[in-house]
Amino acid sequence: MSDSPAWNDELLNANPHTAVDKRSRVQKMFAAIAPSYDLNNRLHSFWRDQAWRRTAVRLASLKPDDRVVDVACGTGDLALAMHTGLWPRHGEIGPARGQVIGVDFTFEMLPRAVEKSQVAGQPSQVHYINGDATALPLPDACCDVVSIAFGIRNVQEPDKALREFRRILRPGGRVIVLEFSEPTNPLIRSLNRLYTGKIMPITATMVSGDKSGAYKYLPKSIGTFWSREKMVQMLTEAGFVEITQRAMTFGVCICYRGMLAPK
Amino acid sequence: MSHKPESIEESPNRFDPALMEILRCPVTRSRLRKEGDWLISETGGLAYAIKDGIPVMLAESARLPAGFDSLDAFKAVFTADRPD
Repeated sequence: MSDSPAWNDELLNANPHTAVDKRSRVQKMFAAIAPSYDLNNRLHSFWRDQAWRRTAVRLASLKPDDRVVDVACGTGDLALAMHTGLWPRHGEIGPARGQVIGVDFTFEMLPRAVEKSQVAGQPSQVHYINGDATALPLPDACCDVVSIAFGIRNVQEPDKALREFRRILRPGGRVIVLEFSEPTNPLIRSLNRLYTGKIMPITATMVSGDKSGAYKYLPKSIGTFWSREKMVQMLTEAGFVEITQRAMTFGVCICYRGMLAPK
Repeated sequence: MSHKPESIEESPNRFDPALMEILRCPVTRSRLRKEGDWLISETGGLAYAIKDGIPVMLAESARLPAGFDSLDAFKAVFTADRPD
C-alpha cells in the first residue's frame, strides 16, 4: 500500500469506519499530513481550534498536581494547553507540579510536539510516547485526566479506547473528548457540509500537498461516526458517569466530559 | 557538556528517565528496564525502541524475545497472566 493514497473514493463512498484496515490507513494518512498539520488546523477552523482546546482544558477541572494523559496527541496542541492549565496561579512560585503525557500512534507527529514543548519552556513536565489508544503503555489508575481531541473518530476500535481511558484513570478522574459533529440547525448544517465536503478538501490539500486523501476522509468520517447520543451511550457503557456535552461554534465541535466515580 | 551520551549517536531529544516510573509494556502491563536505546519488558522480554528520544510503545513494532516468531504466539503465552 506504500505508494497508493491512504484513502480513495471507493473507500470513502462507503463508511470509512468499516474499512478492515482503517488503523493502518489512518496512520499512513497522519504521517503524510504531519508537516502541515498545525497550519491547516488553524486556517480551516478559522483559528477556532485553539479556542475549542481551551474549553476542553477548562472542563477538565485541573488541579496543580494532576497527571493528564492526552491520547491521539498529534503535534501536542492539547497537551500543551493542558500543561498551561496546570501552572500555579496567584503568586505561587516554582514549576507546575503536574505532568502531561501525550500518546500518539503516528510517530511522525511526535517530534513536532517535542519541539513545541521545548519552545514553550516545558520540556520536563510534558512527555510524548508513540503508543496505541487501545493498548496504552500505562498502568491502571495512574492519572487524573484523560483527553482526546479530534481523535476518537479515527480509532479503529473506539469502544476499546474508551475502556482503556477508564482503566488508566483514578477514581474521580475525568475523561474529556473533543470531537467534530454535524450542527443541528439545518441551514448551518448545509453550510458546514458545503465547506467541509466541497471547499476544505481542495484548500487543505493545496496547503499540505497531501495525496493521502486526508481532507476527503475528514468530512466523511465525521458524517458516519457516532452521533452525540451514541457518544454519550458509549461513554456510559465504558463506565463513566455525570456525562455532559458542550456544543461550540454552532455545533461543529462538541466537548464531552465524563467522570470515573470516586471510590 | 557534562552529561554522558546514552547512545553512540546522541539524539538532540533525550529520553527522560522519569518516564520509566510510569511506562508499562502495552502487552503484559509489566514495568520495563532500560538497556541503551531499548526498553525491555520485565515480563516476557518484549523490547521497545527509543527513537529520537521518544519511546515506541507499539506492540507490533516491538522486538520479540527468543523463542517466539510472532506477536500472536507471544500474546497467547503472556497476556493470560496480565491483570485486566
